[in-house]
Amino acid sequence: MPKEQANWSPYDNNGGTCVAIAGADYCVIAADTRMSTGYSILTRDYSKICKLADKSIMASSGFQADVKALQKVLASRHSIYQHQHNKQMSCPAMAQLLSNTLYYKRFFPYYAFNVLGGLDSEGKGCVFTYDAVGSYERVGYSAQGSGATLITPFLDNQLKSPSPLLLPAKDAVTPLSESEAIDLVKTCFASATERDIYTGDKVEIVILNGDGIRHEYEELRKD
Amino acid sequence: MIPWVRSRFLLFLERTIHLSILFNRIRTKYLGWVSSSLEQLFGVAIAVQGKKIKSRRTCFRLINCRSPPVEYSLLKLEHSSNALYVMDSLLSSEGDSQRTQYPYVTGTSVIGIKYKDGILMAADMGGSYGSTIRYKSVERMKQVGKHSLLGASGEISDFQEILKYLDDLILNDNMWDDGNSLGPKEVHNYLTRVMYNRRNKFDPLWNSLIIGGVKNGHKYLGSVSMIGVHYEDNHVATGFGNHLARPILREEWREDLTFEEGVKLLEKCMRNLLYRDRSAVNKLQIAKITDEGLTVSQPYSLKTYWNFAAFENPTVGAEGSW
Repeated sequence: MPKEQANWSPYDNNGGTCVAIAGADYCVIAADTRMSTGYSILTRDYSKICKLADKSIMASSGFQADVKALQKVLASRHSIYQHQHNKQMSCPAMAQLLSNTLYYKRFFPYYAFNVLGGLDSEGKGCVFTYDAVGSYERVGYSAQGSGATLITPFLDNQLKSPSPLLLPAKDAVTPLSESEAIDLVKTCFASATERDIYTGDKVEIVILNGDGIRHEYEELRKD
Repeated sequence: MIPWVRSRFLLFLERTIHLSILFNRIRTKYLGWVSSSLEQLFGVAIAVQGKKIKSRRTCFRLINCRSPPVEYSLLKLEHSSNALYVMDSLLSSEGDSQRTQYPYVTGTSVIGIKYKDGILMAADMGGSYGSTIRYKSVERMKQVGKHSLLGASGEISDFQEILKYLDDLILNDNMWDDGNSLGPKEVHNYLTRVMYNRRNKFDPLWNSLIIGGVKNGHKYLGSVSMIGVHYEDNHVATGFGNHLARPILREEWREDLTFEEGVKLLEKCMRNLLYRDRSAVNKLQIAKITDEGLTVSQPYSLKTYWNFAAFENPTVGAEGSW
């Protein structure tokens, strides 16, 4: 019998867009809440944002099952860290852990595209951006996922980050105020939703600053 | 080498090579070299559809003349003879694989909704063998523990295996005898891990599952796919149901749906599926789960009406058709 049955793939792309912006004393992390497969929408209210520690928040798109597995690994590693050190992991430490966790599966990767946002030990905003196998970089802002190609150039244009080649190194944080950054994120998602079918329904925005953590939501196009 | 260490090692090799090919880490022209090195070192070689790759030349001959997809397998070489036999291999076309390559008997869509007092679920009773409807009384919704209801589409035998896992889970939980019991959320999470683990072993359980239930007045409805993708929603559907039923549910679903309204809504969805899904049969069950417990209806059929103009002459107005 010829084999023409449906074959299967261990991977799927469930879409979604993640954005993070770091400021002098805050960090904004955002992601839409749509989950898709192919041309179908699975659900319109799925949070892609995960609080890994008090001062590190991860937003992830890609293959949802891998993302969930990754979040579970990081959560358990963080609970071990807390037992051993009696404190929360810092955002740069979590960034390195995330990179190592991704690279650990280099030859059967987590199909996950992450941005990690938070506050560093000085209380300054920080954003780390990743690929699926763990390469990462500290930046001032980043977009990942299906809408990243639409949002990145817009952020580049609006935020004009200093070249990473400059010596002495210049701070990557953006000059915006917190409320300006939130508005910018909302604009980014509203625009990406117009052209990217995998982005839409709602944006979830998490704002991290000296006072603590705050959530905001904004409705997006549902088509 | 100890036999089981060896077999584990070969399995690892096989998976590494397969993934390398999958992600284009090995160029085809080097496969001959990889294969002969493996043969010298470990007495195994790479084969394409049962033929061993010996050199760069045979590699090209075997691969280039075939239309994709080419399937690779690891062959184990006997010490003295030239006899080759195929290992339990990842994607080999040979028949002795212990992994599910494709489903045999499958069930089609399941639909679940939340309503005022709990969860309603509907599924037809067909079991398809490819495109043949082979079985007509397959129960695809089963109770799990005290508070949950599981509905499955996809491979029926895998569903029955899952029910065995769940029986074990519930039994082990009962043995604590602490008056605690697993709710739908816990069962859903368990299934999520089982499905994802099996996809990691390249041996998936070929199902899309829907799990619903009520515990302590809390309604829960979720879904898991064969590769572990999972979510919760007010209404869920698998397969064709996601295309044909969910648009109706998105329009008409309300939080305060009564039982009668819920059943009516599910019947509307099932009727639509019956009209357009060729594997659907007109014999279905509706299951209800509330804080009071679970009931699965007797099988029954829906009233259908096939005299719609679009059914009688489906190509009218479609230019260029006959």
